[in-house]
Amino acid sequence: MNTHTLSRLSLVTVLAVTLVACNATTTSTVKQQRATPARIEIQEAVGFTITEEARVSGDARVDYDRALGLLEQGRLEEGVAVLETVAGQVPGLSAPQIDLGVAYHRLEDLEAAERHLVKALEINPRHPIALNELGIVYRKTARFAEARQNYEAALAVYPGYHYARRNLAILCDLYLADMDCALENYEAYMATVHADDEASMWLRDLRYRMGTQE
Amino acid sequence: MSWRNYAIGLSCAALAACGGTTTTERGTLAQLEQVPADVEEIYVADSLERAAQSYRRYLEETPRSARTPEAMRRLADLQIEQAYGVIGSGEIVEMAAPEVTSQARRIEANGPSASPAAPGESDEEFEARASQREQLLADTSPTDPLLMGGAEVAVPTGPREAIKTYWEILEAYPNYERNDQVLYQLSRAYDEIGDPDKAMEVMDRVVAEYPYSRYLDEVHFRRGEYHFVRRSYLDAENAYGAIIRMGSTSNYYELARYKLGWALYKQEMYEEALHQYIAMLDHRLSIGYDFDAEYEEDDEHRLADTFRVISLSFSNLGGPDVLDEYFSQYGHRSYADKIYDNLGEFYFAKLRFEDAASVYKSFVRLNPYHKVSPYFGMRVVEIYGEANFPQLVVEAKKDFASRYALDAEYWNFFDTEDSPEVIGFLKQNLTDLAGHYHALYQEEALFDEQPTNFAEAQRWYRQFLGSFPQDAESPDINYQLANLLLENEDFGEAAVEYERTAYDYDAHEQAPEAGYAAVYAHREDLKQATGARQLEVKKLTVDSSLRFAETFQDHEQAPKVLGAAADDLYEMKDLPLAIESARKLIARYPGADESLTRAAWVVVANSSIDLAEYPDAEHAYTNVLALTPEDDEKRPAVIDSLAAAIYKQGDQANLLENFSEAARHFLRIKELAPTSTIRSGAEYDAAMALMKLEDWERSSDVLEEFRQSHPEHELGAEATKQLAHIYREDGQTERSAAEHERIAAEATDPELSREALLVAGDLYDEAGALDEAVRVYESYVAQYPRPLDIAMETRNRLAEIFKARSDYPRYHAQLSDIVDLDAEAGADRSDRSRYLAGRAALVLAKLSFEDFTRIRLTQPFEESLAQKQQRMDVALNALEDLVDYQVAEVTAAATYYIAEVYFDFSNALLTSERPAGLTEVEKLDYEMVLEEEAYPFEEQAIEVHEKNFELLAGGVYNPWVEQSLDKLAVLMPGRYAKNEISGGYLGSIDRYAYRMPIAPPVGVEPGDVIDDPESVDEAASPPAAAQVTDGE
Repeated sequence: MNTHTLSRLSLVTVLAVTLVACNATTTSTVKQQRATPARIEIQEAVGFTITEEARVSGDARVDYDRALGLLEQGRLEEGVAVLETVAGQVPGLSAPQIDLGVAYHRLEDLEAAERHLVKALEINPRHPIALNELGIVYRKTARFAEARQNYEAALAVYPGYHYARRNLAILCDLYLADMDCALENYEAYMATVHADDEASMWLRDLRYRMGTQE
Repeated sequence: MSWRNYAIGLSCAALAACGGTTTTERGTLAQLEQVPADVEEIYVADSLERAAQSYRRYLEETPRSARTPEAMRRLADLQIEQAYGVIGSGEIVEMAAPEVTSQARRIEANGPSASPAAPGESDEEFEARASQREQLLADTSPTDPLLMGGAEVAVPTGPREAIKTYWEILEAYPNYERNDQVLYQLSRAYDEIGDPDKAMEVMDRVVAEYPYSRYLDEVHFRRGEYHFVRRSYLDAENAYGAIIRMGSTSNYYELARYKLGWALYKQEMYEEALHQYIAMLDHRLSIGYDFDAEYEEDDEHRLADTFRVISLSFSNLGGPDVLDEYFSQYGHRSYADKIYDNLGEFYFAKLRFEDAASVYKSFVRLNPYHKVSPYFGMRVVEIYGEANFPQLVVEAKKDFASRYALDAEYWNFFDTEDSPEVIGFLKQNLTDLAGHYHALYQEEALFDEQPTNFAEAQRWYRQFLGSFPQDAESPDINYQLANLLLENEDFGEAAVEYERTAYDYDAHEQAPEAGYAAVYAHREDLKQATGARQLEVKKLTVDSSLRFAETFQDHEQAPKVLGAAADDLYEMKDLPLAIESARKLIARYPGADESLTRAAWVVVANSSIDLAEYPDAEHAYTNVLALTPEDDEKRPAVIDSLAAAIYKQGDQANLLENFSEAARHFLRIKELAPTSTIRSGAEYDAAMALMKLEDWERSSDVLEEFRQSHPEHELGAEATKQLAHIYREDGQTERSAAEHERIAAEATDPELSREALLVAGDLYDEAGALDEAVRVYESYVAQYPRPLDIAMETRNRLAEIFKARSDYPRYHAQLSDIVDLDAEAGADRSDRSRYLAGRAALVLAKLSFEDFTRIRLTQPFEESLAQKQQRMDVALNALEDLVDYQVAEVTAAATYYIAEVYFDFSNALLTSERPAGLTEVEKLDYEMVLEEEAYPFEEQAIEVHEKNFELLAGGVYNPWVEQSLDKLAVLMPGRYAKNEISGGYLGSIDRYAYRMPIAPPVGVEPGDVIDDPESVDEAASPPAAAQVTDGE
């Protein structure tokens, strides 16, 4: 990686941080206009916290934790079954829906995954995680434009959300053939992580293909 | 002896005792006359004799004195009385007129007289009787010496002595104060003994010597009578005139006028005579005589005689006109009507009918508002009737009816209630006139006069009805008027009058017939009516018919009339009333003629249909059918109507979406009207209704039966279609397919046939009856290569079936056909055919690809290589040809396979069987050569996959592109193995915290120095990278 490349990367990083700071300044606390009150607290140059205010019974919490345990153990069907129950108990919360979306995705049931993620966004439309997960589903079902919209929506909430940033860069790179977009987002992505060799390689290859040098 | 005779006796005794202090009053004798006859006449005679003896004794025994003449006179008077009874008292004694006179024929003011009586007293007899000497004594000798002119009679001695005594008084006592009375008595005594000349002499002396005698008027009258009898009418005139000149206070005044009139009459001085009679009547009127009142018989007789002689006088003067002229000249008299009446009857008695009628008519003409005028009018009618002058009778009646109609001026002066006879006559008159002209109208011989006679008859009928609208005879008259109008074919008016006769009066015997006649007249009128009037007359006919039927329910024609009215009402589209009327007929006359009842049911039925009251219509048609004989030619039509009524109920239910009820009604037709022409259609519609209910079982049953029962029905094809639909809906797909096959076979429309066959194939396919489906599809594509797209789709489906069955030869054959068809389609080629052909060609090309990949490079290498290259060429050619279809999916697939061909060839070289027996060096060289040979093919494979992947930039993304990408990810992972990363599970149910990978660790604020950035989570490991905080 030469000097030019580094300076360019630094610039992108600064830009990304600046964007984060601007957002944090203006919307340090955003209260959602939803049936279930939700808050997204932006923490400058750190991240964000989403809190959904809903009465959650002890049983629901226990079940949720149990479902998460099962999922993390790779016992996806079992985890999904428990999680479906939890989702029914706390219909105003987005977390069970997002988790179900992720689980179904892993079960390669993209249709169910999409259904739950859409539901999560109905509960909390600006949930960056739901937006990112749904963006992946859209890409895999060849709905590239929708995928891009979702990623960008997630980044609009928090530009430093590195998952969405990386996914948007890949989308632009492989599926949209939008080199500029890919370059911009790879670079922004790189600014959010300490290091990503694979991504660094893609960035170099991209610049090569674009005739640019690091 | 009665107390009265006793009193007389006492009186006589008193007179004798008083010695003439009282004289015998003129009324005394008259009063005696009134004394009831005493059977003991001998006693009376004895009494007179004793009185006479008493006077004689007085005269013999008493010296002459101033009382002597008085005694002598009384003695003489008694002697006269003894001989002749009462001596003339000076009172006039009327002669009784004959009982039967022409007066019996007169028209009384209170009513018309009867027909003339048989001739009674002749004019001559009347003249002789009425003009004879007045009887002044109550009792006269059998012969009247005045009339006889002094005929010899035996004179008793008493009177002679009395005459002698009177003469002795006159001679001996010339100054006796009562000598006028003596002379008067003397004259009467001469009269009694039949010596009128002597009597006349004595009376002349009274006239000459005692001009103021109280007996003078009587003496003058007796003198007049004396002369009248002897036809010395001038002398008689003087004598009567002397009395008249004395004034009306004389008791002889009226009689003098009467006799003077006669004297003049005898001299043919009729007008002068009339003056006297009129004067006499005037006198009576002046003293309050009421000519309309009843008086004593004698008085009545005198008056009657007077009127008769007046009539005679006028008659002699020339006739009816003279009467008018007389009163015109000498003034009208209130009693003139009596004179006219008498003269009229005078002429009538003489059978001078025209004159008689003329007199009456003249009076009526001059006195139209006189009370008796209508009676005179009535009398005129009677007179003409008696005279047998029918035409004049009619004219008279018409005149009467006109003058005394209830609206005539006359009744402004008189009350009809006070004139019942006139009113009665008027009614009779009107009735007679109407009947008369009606009869004339009916005379065939008088055909030319029919209009006139009709008008007259109608006029009088109507006048009667106008005058006596509620008379007992009015209904009958009204009926006659109606008959007249009917005969004259004025049917409309006749109907009106019949209705009036029937309904405008209290119940009467003719009312029912009149009511029926009204209906008849209306119907006759209807036959003649034209244009807009037809409806008007029909309405009147119906109204009248209904009224008749309602009012005279028991009339034998009532059912028929009611039925006809119901028919008419239906024609006029007054449907509710038509139904009501017909139902009345049915309910009211259960025993009516069957044809009537049937017709009524027809009205109910047809009207109900028009009113959309179909259940009622059905009921009615059922009854009509029951009353229609089996062999009646109308029966089929009735059955059709019944079926229609039922069908309409189904129709209505359909509109209300009550399809179950609709089907029930439609199916009822089969039971209730099995021979109806609409039965089959109804069954079909029942099936349609059941289909709407999705009652597939019943609807299919109905349609199957329909098709079986009516194999030639025009809806047969439709039924098959519906069955096909039903079976399909009912899940009986195979049956539905069979029905579609049937449709295809039976359809005359090729397009329908084609579509049905295709559907049949689809249904077999859907039902899993693949053998049948293949059979039908193959039949289809064989028969219908066009439309191309459908044929291609069908073949495509066939290919799928063959593929599914692993029947690859047929599968591939079908694919080849698809490709060939498309290639040969020419102008018919379409995007779809190209797409299908492309896909088919892809499958076939894949076969070439598989043939190619199947070949492994084995030793001898050249041989297998040649074979592989050959198949490679085939596959590449086949795959490259796919591009020509310009189907993105196919092109992508072709590209993918082309890349795979190169990749396979590269791989085949690298994995080829190595030749045996090579040294290590040779092996190395061989491997290098292989790699060198294989590498370009791999490069080419990558290049082609990338070409495929480049389709993404053109918006093409399909599994082939994706597969190319996957392949590239393997072949060039650095560039293409790029996978998205997921944030993973959130880990907290209500709170999620994200930290960027570059964010300082928890507890480190941004800006703090981080010693070991590597300790931060790796971004490539999303679950680990997500900083999840749990719960609180």
